[in-house]
Amino acid sequence: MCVLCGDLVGDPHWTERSVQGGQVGGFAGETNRRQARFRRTRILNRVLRSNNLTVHEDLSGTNYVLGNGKGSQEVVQHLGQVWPAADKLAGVRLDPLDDGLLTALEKSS
Amino acid sequence: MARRRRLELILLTGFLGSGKTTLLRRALDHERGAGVAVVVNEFSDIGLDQELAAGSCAACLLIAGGCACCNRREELLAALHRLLDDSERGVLSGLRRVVIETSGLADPAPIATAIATDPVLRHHFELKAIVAVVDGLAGLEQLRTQLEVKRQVEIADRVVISKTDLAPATHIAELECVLSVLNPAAVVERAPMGGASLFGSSIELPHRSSRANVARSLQHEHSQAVACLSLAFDSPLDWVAFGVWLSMLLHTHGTELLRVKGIIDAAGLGAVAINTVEQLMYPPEHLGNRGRAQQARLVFIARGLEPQSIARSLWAFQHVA
Repeated sequence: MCVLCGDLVGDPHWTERSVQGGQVGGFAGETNRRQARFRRTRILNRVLRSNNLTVHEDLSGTNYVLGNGKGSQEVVQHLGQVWPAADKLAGVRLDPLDDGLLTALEKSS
Repeated sequence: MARRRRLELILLTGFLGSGKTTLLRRALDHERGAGVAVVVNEFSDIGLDQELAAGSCAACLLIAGGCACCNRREELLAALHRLLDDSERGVLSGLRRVVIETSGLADPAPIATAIATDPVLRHHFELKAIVAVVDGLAGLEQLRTQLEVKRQVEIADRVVISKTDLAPATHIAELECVLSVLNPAAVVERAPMGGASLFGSSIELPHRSSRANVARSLQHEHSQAVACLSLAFDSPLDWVAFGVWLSMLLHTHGTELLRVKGIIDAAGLGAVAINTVEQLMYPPEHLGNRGRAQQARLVFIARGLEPQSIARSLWAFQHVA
């Protein structure tokens, strides 16, 4: 647990692991980690937009805050927790193979 | 302090009487059992296989009276903890590999998941391969009638056909054809008299010339639209977008996505080996500059999913990166 913010710190999600000395290391260097999280948040917003959801990082850069148009919010730590929370907020199961989502992503790129 | 190598884990599966123990004994004899421990799971209350294997390996443990995928899962984890403990304390010095011989009725996927999610074991064991043994004589019939056999084949990295010396060549050829439909990404080997290598490389992909850049959906009387998609990449993938995409795909379609495996060239990170079993994602193995763009490809095995839509989805997420 972080003594400053009280967050429980678990193992890093597989998407947030980095290479250290040829082995898969623990958390990536802080700068790289924050840059990756920033980009991840941007991509997530494009994906979640189709279901009127938004996501942003908290001040410490350790959590994602998901929200829907009705003001409900969910705080999660990593991508493994983002999708169940997004399903809950959207009220439907989000599908990466959904034609509407893919068309929207293809148009936005 | 130098990081210790993780113990290689091989899941040896196959239906009752298919020849798992014969294959295991041959492999142990060939390797002289050096540094190999075996955990034998027997569905019945009395086990014999561990007696056969015990003389040729560093340690042999028995889990009897059920399947390690369900009602004997805790015992399996306890056995692996015990082997790890013995290895750390020097009782089993030089231990490099552990082979789990599942019961004939076991589903290997929950076993792999249980190990990969154990807070201790997941840091000390590395799943190298799921090897399924299929009976060369009775395999075709079993694939029609026994759901467990089909499941074992679908999830495997390698399929070994046993008793090929006893069955007609046309029968084996038909069986190979069925197996390639059920699991197009698996390496299929023949093992007359149990003579096939058990300890192989972890990532074995189909030859590029035969399946690269091919999306196909194969129907078979045994399968509910098992499809295989093999994608080859000429340029690096965006790792962040790939992570967003694969985590979402596994969350939504993990139960239909039997396997995803391969090597991708992640821009800035080098080659990364990907390996999933249903919803379970194994920690990506960063290979550095080993096997870069030459091998960059992913194989998807899915039931009830359109291969083209998986490919389209991957590229759509890459394009928003």
